[in-house]
Amino acid sequence: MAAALEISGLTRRFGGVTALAGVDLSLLPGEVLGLIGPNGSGKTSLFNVLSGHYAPDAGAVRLDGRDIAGWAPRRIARAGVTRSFQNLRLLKRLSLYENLRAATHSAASGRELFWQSRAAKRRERSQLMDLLALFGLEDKADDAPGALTLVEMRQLEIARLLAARPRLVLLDEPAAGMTPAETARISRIIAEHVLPGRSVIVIEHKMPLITALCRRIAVLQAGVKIADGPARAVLDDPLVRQSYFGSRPC
Amino acid sequence: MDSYTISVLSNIGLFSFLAISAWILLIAGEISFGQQAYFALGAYGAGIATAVWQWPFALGLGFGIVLGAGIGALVAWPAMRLTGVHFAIATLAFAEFLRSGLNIFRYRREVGGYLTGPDGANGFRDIRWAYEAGVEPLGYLILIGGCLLSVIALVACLARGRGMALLRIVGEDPILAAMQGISVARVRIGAAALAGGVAGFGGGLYAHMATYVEPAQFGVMPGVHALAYGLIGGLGTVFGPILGVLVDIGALESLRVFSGYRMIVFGGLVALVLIVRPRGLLDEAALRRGLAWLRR
Ligand SMILES: Nc1ncnc2c1ncn2[C@@H]1O[C@H](COP(=O)(O)OP(=O)(O)OP(=O)(O)O)[C@@H](O)[C@H]1O
Ligand SMILES: [Mg+2]
Repeated sequence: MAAALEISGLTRRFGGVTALAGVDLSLLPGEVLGLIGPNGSGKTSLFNVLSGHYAPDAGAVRLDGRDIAGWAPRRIARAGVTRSFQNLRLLKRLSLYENLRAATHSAASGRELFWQSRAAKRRERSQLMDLLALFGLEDKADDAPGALTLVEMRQLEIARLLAARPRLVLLDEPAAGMTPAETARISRIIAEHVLPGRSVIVIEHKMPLITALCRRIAVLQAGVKIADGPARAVLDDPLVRQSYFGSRPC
Repeated sequence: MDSYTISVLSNIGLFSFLAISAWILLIAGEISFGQQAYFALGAYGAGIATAVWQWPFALGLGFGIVLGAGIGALVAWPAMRLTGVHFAIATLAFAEFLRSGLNIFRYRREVGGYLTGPDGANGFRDIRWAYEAGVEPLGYLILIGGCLLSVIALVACLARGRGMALLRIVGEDPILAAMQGISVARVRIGAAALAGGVAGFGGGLYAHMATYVEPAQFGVMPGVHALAYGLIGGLGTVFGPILGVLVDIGALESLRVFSGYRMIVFGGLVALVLIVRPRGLLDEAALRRGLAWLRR
């Protein structure tokens, strides 16, 4: 099967820091990859390059066969790549509803800038409200995100991501700051609503989420991929245990 | 209505165009001290069209709008890369550049035996359409009001469609906007064109009410005030900037109690509102509550 995403030799430096040092990685359509690694190992940098936020210094990123390395974020988003953010990126001044709707504007026609028919508005509203209802947020549709709990904010980000109808989803620490119970909940939500029919890369430090969602895991260390394979095998790899969990094999 | 009231109301109406113009850019996340430039372009453009070229009034106004919108888009294209203070300074620089340009801009032609047209620093006299058509001040006030309503209706359309949402998203987080597939550049240029067109509309109306315009009228002060109107009135709805104009011109400038102290009181008011309600009196939260209430 042709890969949905094929990254080769991806390199990105920040001054003297090499955040990504020639990373190779490929992802099959519908595959879920867990991306782990110590703090500062380049995981978020990889997402930043994939989503076009930063241009790579070298290397190629093939999405369904096209090299998208160095494309503008807008173009990459339109090609079907959507991400979440480690530190949440919500529109605090807009309602929950408008936060979701933000993901739908780029697909709309220019005429809709000035006018949406009553039918079109109603269709859009029912679709987005259904999406909010998936996460139990429909009663807060008109509120600002500031009133939400952390879990709800993460859910809103996931809902927004779904509203964009992406093919490739990049989740950056979706359970950051959550209790074990909340982590289990968000992991169930991701399994149910994000994974089906999509290629997904999940960055996470919380192993329960990774093991629950991913059959395959890749490990970054100092910008280098040091392991990639079936979850069990990677987690048992002595090199990984040493670099990531800090425990020496005895 | 006495002539004083008519003139105050006309000023409120005309200043509302300028205030809405600055407000549109505020929504898109950009601070402009220079919207008076597009007001001036509209005034000169529409004035030249009717007085020198003898175009019908509506076409002349249209020309002023197109001129404001076109130059607005043109200036936005390079200025777009700038943000915050740098963008604000660029708008100010362009407005002052234009004003100095008008100071040496001469375009006088013979119309009906008289020389008519802009004459540099001496200004531009005899923009006489309203006078020749016999439009009374009250009639002209109604015309200004109707035109202002059309601008409000346009903003309402944008709010009903996707336009205002796009402006607000780009205004709050351009990086996120781009990652949602939105063309930030196009939204910003569109906002600048819209803002320039609205200011140009007001400028054309102003020129035909005053019959005389000169570069000195389009200095920094009206630009700064226009910006402040949106900030105190609020960024939630188009009525914010109009409320700002009402407070300043309607109350402070026109009520005798404040005579001589207007600038001091206004400055203090702006500072107070920005501390208590950073996004103005009618802010986004007020808008959200209003919409939720309407939906009930
Ligand atoms: N914009 C930037 N400017 C300078 N250095 C950067 C920038 N972004 C990332 N870096 C550096 O690149 C390295 C990798 O950072 P990155 O955020 O990708 O790590 P990470 O694996 O996501 O870590 P964490 O688990 O803490 O989120 C770090 O040394 C970081 O300081
Ligand atoms: Mg990170």
